[in-house]
Amino acid sequence: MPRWGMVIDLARCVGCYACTIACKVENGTPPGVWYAPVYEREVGSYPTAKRLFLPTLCFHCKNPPCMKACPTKAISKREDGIVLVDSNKCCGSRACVAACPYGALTFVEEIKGEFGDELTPWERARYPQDGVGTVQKCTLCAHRIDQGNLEPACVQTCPTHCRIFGDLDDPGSEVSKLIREHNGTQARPEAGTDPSVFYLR
Amino acid sequence: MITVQPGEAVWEDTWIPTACDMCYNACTVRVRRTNGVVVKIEGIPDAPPNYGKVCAKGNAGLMNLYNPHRIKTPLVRANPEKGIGIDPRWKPISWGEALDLMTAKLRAAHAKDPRSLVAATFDRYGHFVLRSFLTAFGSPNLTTVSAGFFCGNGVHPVAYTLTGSNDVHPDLKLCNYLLMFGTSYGFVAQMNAMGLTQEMAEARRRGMKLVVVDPVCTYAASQATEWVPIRPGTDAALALSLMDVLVNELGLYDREFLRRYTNGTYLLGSDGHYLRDPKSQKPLIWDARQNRAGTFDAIDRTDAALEGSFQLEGIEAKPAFQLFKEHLSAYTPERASAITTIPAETIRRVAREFGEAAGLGATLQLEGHTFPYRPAAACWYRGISAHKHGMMNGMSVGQLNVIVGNIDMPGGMLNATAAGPFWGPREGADGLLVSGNPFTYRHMRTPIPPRPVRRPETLELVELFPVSVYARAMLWLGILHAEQFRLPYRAEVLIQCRTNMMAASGNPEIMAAALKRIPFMVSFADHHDETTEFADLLLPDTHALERLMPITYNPYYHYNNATLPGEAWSFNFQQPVVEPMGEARNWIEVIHEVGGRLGILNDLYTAFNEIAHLEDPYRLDPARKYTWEEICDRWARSYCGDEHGLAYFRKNGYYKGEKRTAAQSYPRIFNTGRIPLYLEHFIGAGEDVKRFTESEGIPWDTSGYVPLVDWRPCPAHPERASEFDLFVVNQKLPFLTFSFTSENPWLTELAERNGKVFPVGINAETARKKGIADGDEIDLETAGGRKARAVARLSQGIHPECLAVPGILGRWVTANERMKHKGIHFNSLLEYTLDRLDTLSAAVDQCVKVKVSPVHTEKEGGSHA
Repeated sequence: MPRWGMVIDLARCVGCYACTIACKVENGTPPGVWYAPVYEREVGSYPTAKRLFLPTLCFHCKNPPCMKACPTKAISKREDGIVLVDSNKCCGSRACVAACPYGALTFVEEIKGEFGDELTPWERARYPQDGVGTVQKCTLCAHRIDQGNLEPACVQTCPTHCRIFGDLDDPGSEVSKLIREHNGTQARPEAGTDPSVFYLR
Repeated sequence: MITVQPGEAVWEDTWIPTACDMCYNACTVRVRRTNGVVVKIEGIPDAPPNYGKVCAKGNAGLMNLYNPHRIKTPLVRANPEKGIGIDPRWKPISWGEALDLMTAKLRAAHAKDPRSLVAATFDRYGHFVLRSFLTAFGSPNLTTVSAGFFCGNGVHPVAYTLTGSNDVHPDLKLCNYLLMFGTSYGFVAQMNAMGLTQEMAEARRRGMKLVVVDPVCTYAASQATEWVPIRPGTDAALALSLMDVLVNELGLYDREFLRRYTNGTYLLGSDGHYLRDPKSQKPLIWDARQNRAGTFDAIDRTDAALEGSFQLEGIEAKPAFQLFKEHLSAYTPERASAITTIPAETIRRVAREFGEAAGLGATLQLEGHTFPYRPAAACWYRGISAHKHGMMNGMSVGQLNVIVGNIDMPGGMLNATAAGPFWGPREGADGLLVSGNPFTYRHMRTPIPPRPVRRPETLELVELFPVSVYARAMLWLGILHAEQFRLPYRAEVLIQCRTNMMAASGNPEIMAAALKRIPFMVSFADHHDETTEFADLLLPDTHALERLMPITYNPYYHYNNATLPGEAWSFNFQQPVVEPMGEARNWIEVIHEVGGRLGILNDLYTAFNEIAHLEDPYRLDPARKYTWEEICDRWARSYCGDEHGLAYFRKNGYYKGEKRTAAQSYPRIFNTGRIPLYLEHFIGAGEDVKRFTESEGIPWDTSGYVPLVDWRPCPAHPERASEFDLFVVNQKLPFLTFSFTSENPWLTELAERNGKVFPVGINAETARKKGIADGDEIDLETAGGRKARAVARLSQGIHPECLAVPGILGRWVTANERMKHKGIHFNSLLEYTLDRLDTLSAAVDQCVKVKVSPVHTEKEGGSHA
């Protein structure tokens, strides 16, 4: 059984946000809900300043604190490491939102149309109409992976090969090699969550 | 992916290949349609030019399709008064009534003077048909606004001069050191944005050094090896100084290249002209081996003298490069430092790094040929082109490449003529390199040899620009000042589509004045914008996902992956994925229908055969009538072979042609035509322009027609000492390029979350001195009295003399309410007047300075812009 994960090569990211939008369309997230944001911040001082880009997603932790925090067992971890929220079981307590050290979960308070009250045909087809009052998060595009040949939407569209998807348990996979060769690091290792997402600098 | 709501039956779920339309690059994509609804757009991994990669804009495209505020029926203006912010009071009418009106207006214009019809579009693919329509009608006035105001003016003429092609690219596959001047090349910008972004990422990861010269630490500069902040409009001083260091301090220049492939060996007389053989009139060069002069084509190039001074029948003669070299010595790093604000030691270091990376003397074996290997390049684009001296700015960076001998060599700056049947520059008059692209005479003019100056017949006055490739930015000034330029007619009808020129071209107030001069304006549009506000008749156009349109530029034009070494040329199609919204129609089909109503369809077909370069048996028979599908089918077969007609493209979406060979990628060693490093041809061209404009009493600056490139200040530079002390710089955003991308709510929310899009950036230290804090409201005012109010964003990534205004924002008419009045509109601060145009390239100067003051609150006395 693989352990699906991602390497994010920060030296490659150019802050184009293609991943962020591809994810939104793939997953039909309502206004205000973004599974794969890129954070941008300025560092350094003139004339050696830079913008830094930090692409993110749910880290699909080996020890997911969100899962432990959920009072209704709505969050589960699959054998391949993907952590999912079952909105049918979600009671909206938001305990998971507070428990996640990475801010990866969003509570959906209401679903509004992008152009106002009237939803577009895309919105009518795609918004999770039973999702109001529940928590949503990145699924690592489990629905694509389960088809057998598709990468997550954010990876598929990334033009700089900054987001790389693969099996962390396979020492020969591109992700495992990159982590080994470039000393990939996880976010906030002190939290003990063991994320399935590794960053390269 | 759940593409329907739970419980809903799936009666259809299919992927349809097509081409994106969220910028001009037309990436190949596939669109998923479930139960009649477009649910996803994504790339196709094997499909050029983008190979599966789609940017934020392209991914978001379906929200533009589904904007409920799109124009759904033909509309006619009820309010005779036109202007910015004036409601046209649209009245819906039927298509029949609309086309009756349009035809009647066109007939009346034709009777007055066929040239009185003007057409403007940025629909790169539709303009073949539009040009055919205009040719049949009898008008030369087609413009591809809004391109041609700021972008390629200082690029294309230089590219033709260096390579005989329309554009130049650095060889990202082999380059080891890339200098970028005022461009985000390879960072989701420019031609072939997604293909080049992939190439750039790989080049950076394999260790190519990237040095970005820009007033703003752009997205590109952020990921560069080094950002070199520069005072706006001074790039030519830097390029000339880099050359001075290379030539006069380090001796790092490619003598062999200069001898073989440039006019650096041509002998000059004291008047700056070539010394010519009295009989043949051919330019002379000095044979250093035999110590005598001979015509350029009679002496072995390797024997030609590049430097020195020679006596030729009592006249002192110098090779052109000798003068070039002496001329450079005026640009010491110390002097350039004072102009550019870049420390002299940085200029010396970058020059040495660049020269050493070029690896003079090295060679590379490819496909059986031995090429000089020059893996250092300098590229440039809009940032240095959009200035009063845009041509000189571009030329100076172009020449930096010539000095190290990298033109059309592996690792260097390469011609961007697509491979295929139309490849191949030639040797022209005086042994100079001339374009081999037969299409250029339709879209772009070539600068070598200079075109004769004659009385303007086009509204864009291109007749006064002998060495430009176009003069599109002049169009509206030609309309405004028709009397001054003694144009023999006036604009009567404007047909306009897919270009928001009010937002994207010149200053809107001046644009508005020009538009109001045209008695009747027809707009085709899928949403209301700043330009449609001026239309008399507004016709609903299809979204790209609703229309059939061949992406015509791919095999013959200049910026698909075929321009990259080893890549294949390609051709793709936009095809309808869903039915048009409301009564929307593909505007190109409407143009055909209007052609039929006017009785000029036969002439349209005849013109189209030439303009689209159709070959037998696919040429259109003027005696027949064709559907748009039939025309597209013939078009595709003519380009891609009989088996690749419309049916093939409906199924496959794209066609991949032959790969570019090494000889096509790196043609310099096979071309005999020489690069004019010394612009002798400018002297005569300038004299021609001067003679004509003086005789006509037209005030016209001809001082730029000099054979040796200089740095010259923009009109804004002398304002340095005054209270107008900050340059405003327009900065590119990878997710909001072109005004119609700001119609998209997803991209709007991205911009809102980003936080750096709507405010105006200001250097933190500069802000501190002016008492401005992060988030403060500030007022901007130019010396010309143009004003804007913005929120300040303090940044370390901006030159201390600059304000950074991102994107094309500050929208005032939009179908996306959330974007209205967000950010400020850069072009509104610009002047758009004759004295701010480059009379060589027709670039609009975007160098503008402002005074900045914090907004005082009402309590403190109040002052409002």
